[in-house]
Amino acid sequence: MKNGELVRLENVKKYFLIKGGFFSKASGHVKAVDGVDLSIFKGETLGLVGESGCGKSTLGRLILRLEVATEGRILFEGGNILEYDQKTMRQLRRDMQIIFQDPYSSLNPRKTVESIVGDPLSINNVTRSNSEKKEKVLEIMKEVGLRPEHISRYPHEFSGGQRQRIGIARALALKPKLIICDEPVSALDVSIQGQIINLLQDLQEKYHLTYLFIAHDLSVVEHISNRVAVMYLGRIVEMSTNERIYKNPKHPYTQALISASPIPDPKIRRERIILEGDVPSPINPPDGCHFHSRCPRESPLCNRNTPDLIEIEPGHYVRCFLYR
Amino acid sequence: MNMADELLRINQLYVSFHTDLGVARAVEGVSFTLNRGETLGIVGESGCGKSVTALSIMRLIQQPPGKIESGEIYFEGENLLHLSNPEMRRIRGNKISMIFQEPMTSLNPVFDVGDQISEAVRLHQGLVTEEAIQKSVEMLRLVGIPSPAKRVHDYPHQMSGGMRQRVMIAMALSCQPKLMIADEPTTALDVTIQAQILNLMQKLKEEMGTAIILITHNLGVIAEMAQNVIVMYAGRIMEWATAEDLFGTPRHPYTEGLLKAVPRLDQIEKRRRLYIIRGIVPSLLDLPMGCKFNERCEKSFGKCFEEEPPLFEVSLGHTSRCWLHERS
Repeated sequence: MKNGELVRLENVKKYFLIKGGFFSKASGHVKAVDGVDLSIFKGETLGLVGESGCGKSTLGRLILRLEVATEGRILFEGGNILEYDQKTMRQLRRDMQIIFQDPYSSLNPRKTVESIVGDPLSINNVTRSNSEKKEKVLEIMKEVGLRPEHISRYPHEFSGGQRQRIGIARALALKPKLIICDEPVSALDVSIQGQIINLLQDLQEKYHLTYLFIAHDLSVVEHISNRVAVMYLGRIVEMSTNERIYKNPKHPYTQALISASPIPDPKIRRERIILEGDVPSPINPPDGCHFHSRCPRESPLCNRNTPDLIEIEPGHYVRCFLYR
Repeated sequence: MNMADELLRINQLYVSFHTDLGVARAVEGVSFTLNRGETLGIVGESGCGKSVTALSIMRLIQQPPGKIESGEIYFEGENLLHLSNPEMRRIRGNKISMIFQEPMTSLNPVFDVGDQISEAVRLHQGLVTEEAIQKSVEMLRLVGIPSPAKRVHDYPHQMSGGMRQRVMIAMALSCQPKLMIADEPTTALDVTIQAQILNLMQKLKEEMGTAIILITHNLGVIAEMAQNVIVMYAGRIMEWATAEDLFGTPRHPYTEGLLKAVPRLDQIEKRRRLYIIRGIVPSLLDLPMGCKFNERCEKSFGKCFEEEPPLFEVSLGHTSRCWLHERS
């Protein structure tokens, strides 16, 4: 492990089997994650962007071993989590948590806030009595901006933004090292998004948290991330610091993504790159470079070979034959 | 202003929902006009009344529990609220059409897309099946669906989100309406597909001269597409101006707040804190006295808590519902 690396993914793949036919034979694979190398450093926020079906959520779940990788190594603090037994994994889960996108379906509707946030504490023997549990829960609730009287309420009694705060409280309870934020603000109104983003940033500073921030909204990712990785059909196509990705994107897909993101200013008229066609299915990704079928700068090389992810300047990686 | 250019005029529209918990005043005193060929953006957060306003124009509000309490909706000089059901049916899908946010749930899963697109032309233009299918193929081609003669027999589930949205647009434009209402047409779509759809809407609008009411909470989309913009909050219009004026010199604290709260790709700063509009949108069942934005407003003062401000004209074509402009 490199210095300061918390997580490292090496050639990670996740193929989902598609069963079909009379005998439920395997009739193909959904190549959700198709060879990802990635590092997440301690204390940073790594943004992971891409559109539907690119594999970003699956990647987040693989890191937590909520899905088991088909191939590759996933190292957390130097150890390969794919080799751990259930007991070790359970211990490790205290260090890695997740906040989900949908504040309406990610909380158990039959549990109170005390239970949702506190159960992880009692299950892991962090607290040993109900009163201790309640005390700890109240502390965490305060951190995320929930009022003490909320402790005995049920999810349906809260707004979307408040439910997201409960989800954050739950993720924080065990003082994890890593939090996977899977589209945590997409379902929220603009004025609430800002509150949640600020909260996540404050908590990160206070508790030295590391975030993998998964989203499709480029402006939100730009705002919160130190580095950004762009995914397309199961592969990382570009990765760099925040500034470089937005000011100087190199991969044609990244350029198209940025160009397509509307800016709230009618006076800004940009050269718009409009991609043709739909995103191909991860069941049958195009040969060679997965993006070639929609790429405005496609060359004959692109449908025969897959470009590697190369470092074109320190810390800036691109997977494209335009840069060799 | 040339009166012949005016396509739609809404006068003091009041719409409420009578629920077990009380009466939710979803639209309160909304008035605005729309000219032929104009794109008007209506922006606001959840519950502000933008969708209810649109559904009222189409007379798609379920009554009960909804009720159009009062007001007038003039379309080409005729008050839609006074039309009989058969008369209104001749307008829907024909002169005024609508596209919705979730193409999967807005398209009928048991009919193929050709059928659904041609329904409007069969109904309104009396085309028989053969001609209607031809028209569907034409419309699919117009909205950029490849191999339209084959795809015309596809079912919605066989198409991607972006394609389904194009089918909805094809349905909406098949009778060359004067007005198309688009309610969050791209919110459920990926950003590169959104760009395609917005581009398509703009192109078709230019070709057909259709006016568009574009409803969304996405300020970026509004900036791209709208000539004029209405900002709604808790059922009311808070500000109405040209897009340039609204974004350049917003004159309502809520609009200012929204613009400051949105992270922007063209303003990359090192992890600054986002501006926050404190508090949350009040429940429509329990609105504060005075200006509905008062508790969350940074610039509120005494009068804001006693009396609701009317719309003041801040400059030509720019109105704002705020006591700060009382002396202007």
